[in-house]
Amino acid sequence: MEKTIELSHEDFKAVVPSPERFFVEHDFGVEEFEKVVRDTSPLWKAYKASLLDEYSTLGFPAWKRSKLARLELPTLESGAGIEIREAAGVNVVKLEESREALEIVKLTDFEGSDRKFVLQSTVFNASGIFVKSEDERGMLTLKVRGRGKKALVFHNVFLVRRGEKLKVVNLFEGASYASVLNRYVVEEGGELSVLNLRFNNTFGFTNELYKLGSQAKVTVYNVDKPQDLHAPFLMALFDSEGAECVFKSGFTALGTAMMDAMYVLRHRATETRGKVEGSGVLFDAAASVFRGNIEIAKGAVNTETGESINVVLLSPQARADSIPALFVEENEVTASHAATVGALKEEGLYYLMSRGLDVTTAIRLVVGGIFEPMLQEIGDIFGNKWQEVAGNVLTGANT
Amino acid sequence: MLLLEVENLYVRLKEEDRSILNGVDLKIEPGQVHAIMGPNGSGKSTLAHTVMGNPNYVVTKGDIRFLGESITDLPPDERARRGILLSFQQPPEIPGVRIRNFLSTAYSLTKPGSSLLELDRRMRSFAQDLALTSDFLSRYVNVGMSGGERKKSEVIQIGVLEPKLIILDEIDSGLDVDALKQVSKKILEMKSSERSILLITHYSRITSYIIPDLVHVLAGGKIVASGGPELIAQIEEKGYIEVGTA
Amino acid sequence: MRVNVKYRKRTTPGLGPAIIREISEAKDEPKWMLEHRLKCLEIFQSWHNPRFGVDISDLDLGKIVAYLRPDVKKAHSWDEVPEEIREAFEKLGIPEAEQKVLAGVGAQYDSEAVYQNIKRELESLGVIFLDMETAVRQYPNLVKTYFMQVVKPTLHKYAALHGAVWSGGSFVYVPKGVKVSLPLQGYFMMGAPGSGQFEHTLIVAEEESEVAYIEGCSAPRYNVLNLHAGMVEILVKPGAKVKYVTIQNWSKNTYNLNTKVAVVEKDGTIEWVSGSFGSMKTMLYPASILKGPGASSSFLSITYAGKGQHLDTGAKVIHAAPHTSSIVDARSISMGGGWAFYRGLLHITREARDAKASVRCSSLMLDNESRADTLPIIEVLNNEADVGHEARIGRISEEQVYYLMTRGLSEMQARELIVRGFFEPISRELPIEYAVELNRLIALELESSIG
Repeated sequence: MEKTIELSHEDFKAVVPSPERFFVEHDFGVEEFEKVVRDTSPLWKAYKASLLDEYSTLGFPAWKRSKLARLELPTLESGAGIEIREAAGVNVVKLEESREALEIVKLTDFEGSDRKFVLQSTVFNASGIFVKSEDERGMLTLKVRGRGKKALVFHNVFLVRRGEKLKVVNLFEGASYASVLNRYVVEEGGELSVLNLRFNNTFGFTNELYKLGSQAKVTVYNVDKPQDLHAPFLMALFDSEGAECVFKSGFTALGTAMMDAMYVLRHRATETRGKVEGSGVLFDAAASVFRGNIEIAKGAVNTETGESINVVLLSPQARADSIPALFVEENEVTASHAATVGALKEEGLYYLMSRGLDVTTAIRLVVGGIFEPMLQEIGDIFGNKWQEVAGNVLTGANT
Repeated sequence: MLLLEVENLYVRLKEEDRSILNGVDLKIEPGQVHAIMGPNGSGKSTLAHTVMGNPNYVVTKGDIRFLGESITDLPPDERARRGILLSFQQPPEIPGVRIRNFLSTAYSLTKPGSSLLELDRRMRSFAQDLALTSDFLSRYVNVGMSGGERKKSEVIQIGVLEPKLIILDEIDSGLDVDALKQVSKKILEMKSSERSILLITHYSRITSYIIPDLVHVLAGGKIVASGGPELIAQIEEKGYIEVGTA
Repeated sequence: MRVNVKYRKRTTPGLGPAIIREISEAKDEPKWMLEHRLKCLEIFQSWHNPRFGVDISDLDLGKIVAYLRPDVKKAHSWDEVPEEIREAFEKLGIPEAEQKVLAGVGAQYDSEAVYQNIKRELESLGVIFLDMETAVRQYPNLVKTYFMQVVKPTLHKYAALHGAVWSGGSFVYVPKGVKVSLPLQGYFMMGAPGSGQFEHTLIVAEEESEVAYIEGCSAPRYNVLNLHAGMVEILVKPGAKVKYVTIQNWSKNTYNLNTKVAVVEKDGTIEWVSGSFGSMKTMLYPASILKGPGASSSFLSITYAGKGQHLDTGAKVIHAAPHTSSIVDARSISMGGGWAFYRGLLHITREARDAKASVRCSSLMLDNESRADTLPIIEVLNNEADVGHEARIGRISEEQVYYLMTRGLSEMQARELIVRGFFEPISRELPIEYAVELNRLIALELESSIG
């Protein structure tokens, strides 16, 4: 299993903090399990059943920064489905009818933001799809809309085959509780672009694993606007030479919303390139935690990697925590990171106002400017419509 | 009616007690070109920014009136909409915001009801006259621009927003001879009987292109000498200190 | 290296109230100090080990003799120091104190101040510079006001242990407006097998005063586990300036779990300069608490992690007031399998309007046997603060090495020069003899791993 944090070196071990655990009333159990496996193949059912015990005995992590101990788990919507909006150049089947998908799942077991959520998504998913690219034009738009006060749990696997391309847009909005697990396997020379648009979800837990083959290229855009808490976890495994992966994140949080994101780049092969870039704007009493872990293993020569985090606080009650971490065991690499937290440059606002813009318009323009480079890229790859949708999520209808 | 009247103005920095301007008086009629010259640290930029409404400066005494109305308590955007525009000495970067986008927003706020096609035409024509390629307008405001490019960008804004009072804070710094000529030409084209120009500089170079009607010397936070353009020659010869105490 | 010195008192391995009483009695302490020690012992015994950092599960406190007192009375000049002890100092290469211009030196040998010399000048200024135990007896009220107020025993398990068994260290008190021009120095040494070092340094700088303190240590090598759990508390009152310099070269079998905290009041300044070379495992995070408006902190450090070393070090800065500023410049070098881990905390409270903080971490890895990590935690709760962090991990550029070689330097000399250059901003802050020692250490380590 791919652990999230592993701190050791030669004979030394470091102490790895592990969170306290808590249990919720009416956690998912056998009853929910029976409901979701009604139409599942026997092979899959057996696999999921084997994890049920581990899930039941493990409590939820009492994350301090996001105060997760207040979590209330709503009833599971066992009939929820994923809407496939557009699909071209791809082969899509139900996840749990595919043997191939199960093999991939077994090979890509990981801990994610917390084992509890990965297990939850694997065992209790109401549905899931297995997507395989078929040629160079692969594209897919998935949409999930919240269903009242229900918990939506999904598990998907995406495979980009040798030399093929795939573009995926994931739109997820308005859920009371969402626990999503996405595994992406990109084979040699494959190209994957993902746009995740997640907004107005009360509690959202996303765990994504990207396994990169040789010369594979992956670009992921995360556009987030949490309602209460969104905790995305993305991990890229650079297991083969020449793989490239870029994670870009833009988020806006209002009210008392919280964004707790974790990005992990695990460089384990030569000549790989990675990048994590995050920009966020916090209004009111919103808060964010941005964790970027970049790891370079011994032997991962000529890795080029880095991260930059920039968060702007737009009100005195907002709070931004940044933890840009670097763990390096190979010295023939280029690795750096930078993090800034601050207010909008007063100088910049004054300058705009001196051209007749009122304060609100000036702020909106500058905030838009913060996300503009990422939005531009989204437009270039996914089209103007998506650029607009993303732009609206990040800068539309703010205070 | 005076376009701009500064009366007995005392100004200090927000975070300090020290007074930078100590009783400045200035009267600008419509259609005039004024030049304010003075040694470094005399308060020239402070004066310019106080007229514009920079929140870093606090008026402790005196008043500023524009077209007869006091503007001392107005925020910078309201002053801009009334027709004052200050070309910054060091215009700040605004990452991710394109000049074109920024200008059309400012334009629609300052001149509501005007045609955006007209705006586009003006922007491109100005850019061309300033020897800039058309993709200049797609660049992010001041990001990665040389001193000269930034100044030209300021001039495009002036041309587009057509203020009644143009304040140029050291517009000549960072400009080579050609650029200075291009910039001066565009500014002069904007000269009219209703529009005034306030030039802030400590080198006299620009005054040979944009010839002022009145020249003032600012030293120690006060205007210590005023006169016609011949004052410039005196400054060149004797220096600020002598001219100021004469 | 063996040192033959008689030891007067040896506390029994294993800790309990009885030993604490023994220690306190031997030091002739007032009742409040004994009570404080006992309270700390209770906390120590009930607290858990730190939940992060190096693995100290192998640390067996039962083996560590907490208190040793050499069989000597306190000396007032170098000549009075017993010969065996003087010899030990010479063997370690620490030259006779009188040869350098020093304001005063408290040399601690195995938990006891043996050598004291306070120049008359300091005395006339009203500056107090004493070993901690004498200070407890001579200035009880002053010490009681400040002792372990900056660092409470509940901060972590080893702070509590320290509170229970502390021994030795310096007390520095600088009255209002006094500026001490020469740096005050102290030496520490661990001499006996299995001995612990729990020195306590307390510096109180009154309003507008200025003082610099240099702490340096070195220890011979032993096979038994060694523990260093000292503590430094600094109070910088309004407008005062304190500079605290440490160069640490504990033997490579030491556990270094030190605690250093400074509280800075209005317009005060604290400067930390620190060089960590030794020990097997270190957890060290000098902390600056910027309590008053306009307070500032600067932190310069070098950490060297070589074969068999796991050093988890960093800086903690807390901006708890407006207009405060801080800079952290932390550099590390790892080679020969060492593990250098930077762990920093930068916390800007809601009240810290207009705070400015910048952190820069640079790690130089000389091979791919070693490991360099940075884990900075940045927490910002004020929207009018300006906070920036950057980190870089890299290696010696071959181009630079080649260039230097074309000017006549050997490859080894070239690498040494480049490494020295990497440390230069910090080594120039150290007093000359430390800078020299630092360069010598770099050369030795480089030669042993590269040569």
